[in-house]
Amino acid sequence: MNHIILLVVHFVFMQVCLSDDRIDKLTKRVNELELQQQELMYQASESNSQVNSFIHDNLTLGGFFEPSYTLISGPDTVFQASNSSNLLGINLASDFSNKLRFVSQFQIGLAFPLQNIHNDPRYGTKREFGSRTFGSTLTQGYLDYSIGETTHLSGGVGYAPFGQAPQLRELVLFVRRGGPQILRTNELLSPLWSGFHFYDRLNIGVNNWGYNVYSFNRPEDPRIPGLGARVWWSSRDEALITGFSIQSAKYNHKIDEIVGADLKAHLFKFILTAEFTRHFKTQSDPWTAYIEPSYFIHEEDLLLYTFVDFAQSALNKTAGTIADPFQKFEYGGGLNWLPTVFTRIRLGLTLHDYIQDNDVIQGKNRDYTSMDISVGVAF
Amino acid sequence: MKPLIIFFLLSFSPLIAQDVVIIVNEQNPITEITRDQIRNFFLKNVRQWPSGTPVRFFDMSDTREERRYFLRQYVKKTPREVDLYWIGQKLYSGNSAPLQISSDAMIAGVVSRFPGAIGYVSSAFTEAPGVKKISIKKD
Repeated sequence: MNHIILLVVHFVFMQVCLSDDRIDKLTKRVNELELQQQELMYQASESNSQVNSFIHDNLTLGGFFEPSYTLISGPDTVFQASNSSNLLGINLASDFSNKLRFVSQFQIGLAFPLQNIHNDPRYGTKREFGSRTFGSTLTQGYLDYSIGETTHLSGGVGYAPFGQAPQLRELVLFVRRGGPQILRTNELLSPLWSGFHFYDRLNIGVNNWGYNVYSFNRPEDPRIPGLGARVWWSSRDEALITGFSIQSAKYNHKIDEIVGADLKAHLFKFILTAEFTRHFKTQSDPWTAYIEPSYFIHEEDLLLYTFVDFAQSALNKTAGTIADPFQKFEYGGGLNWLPTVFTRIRLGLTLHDYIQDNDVIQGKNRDYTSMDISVGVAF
Repeated sequence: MKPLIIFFLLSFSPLIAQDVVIIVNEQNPITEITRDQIRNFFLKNVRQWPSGTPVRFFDMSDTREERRYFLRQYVKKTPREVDLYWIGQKLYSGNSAPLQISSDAMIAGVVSRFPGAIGYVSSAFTEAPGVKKISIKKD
């Protein structure tokens, strides 16, 4: 009897040892597989937008493409429809170290641009789509050095941190096509900083504060660089952002200031963007202001927008020689549909309303209506 | 009264279940973090820990319900707003979104590999070698 009990105990003991051994082996194998999986993940790098290069592994590739179709018509503008522009933007960025990174963007365009856009009969032509043109330009290219947690110093060229729109020059990010008139009005801000750009961001209590200081060159007088600055504030969740911007540069042997104030509010499904910019000169002050409310009418993929945009371009010259100081309203609206987060399809309508003395020149009415159909894709 | 409490608890149990825990590499000296810090690390507004160690944020896969909860509670954005934010960032400043990882174990695994790593896992997560849970400090 005792033998039988001993045999059973021995058998059970052996089974327990074998089970423990097997569990150990299985645990080891699971750990090995998990490590292999992790290694594969490291090889995949931080984001699927990153590619391997010969120089450095952390190279980020991205960009956008936007073809658009524009229809125009007016009292003295013949109805026309054209594939007005096709713009490809390529972004390349690389982290060389934890503190040093390189950011670049260049744009390549193929377009049938609108000629004599303000329909000035003194120019000798009408407002119409011109022949095919193409070109490329560098919009960003800078080295960014991180001095502290949030303090940065950049050197090169980049979008000027002046208000809201100039910081969103990529067409796919604008709510309406081409963005507001602030970007198209002569004698206003320099859209790019060049040289140095120093910026910082501070979290104070429940608020975010930030500032930018940068140099730039005005195309009219590139011999002496100008100086730009911006101070901004946002609520903790950045639903409310407001800022004050200034650019100061020598122009026609005098120092001029261009001043701007901007506001962006995002509350539930409602977004409001408003900006004001004025060029302070002794005789004539070109200025522009717009307000752009928009509302997500279906979840986050269907945005309905409207806008009122005014510009006084007191120093505008047709063909660079004929003085044409105009005042113009642009108002309209449209629909942005984002079937995927990377794709935007837009249908927009804009009424271009010239006012005051320059509404009609030599019997020619300058007003017109434009309709835009465009697709934007970011990658 | 008792049925009311049970009803209340049952009604909110899905929300409780979606709660997340913030984890960092065990070498990181911090023991607590504010929601603002988490948000700034996630959005890459701040890229270094106070010690100077670079921050490496690991996100949860967008198929996980906990991610929606995390974005709402800590980042104050919807998943779509976050996607659009990263498109803008990539075009404007070259920043790209944090890597998304599907399982808690994998998140803990990668966080344990990098000294400056931070991530979040579901509240059901217990512990893993090389990582530690940190508490949320009031802003």
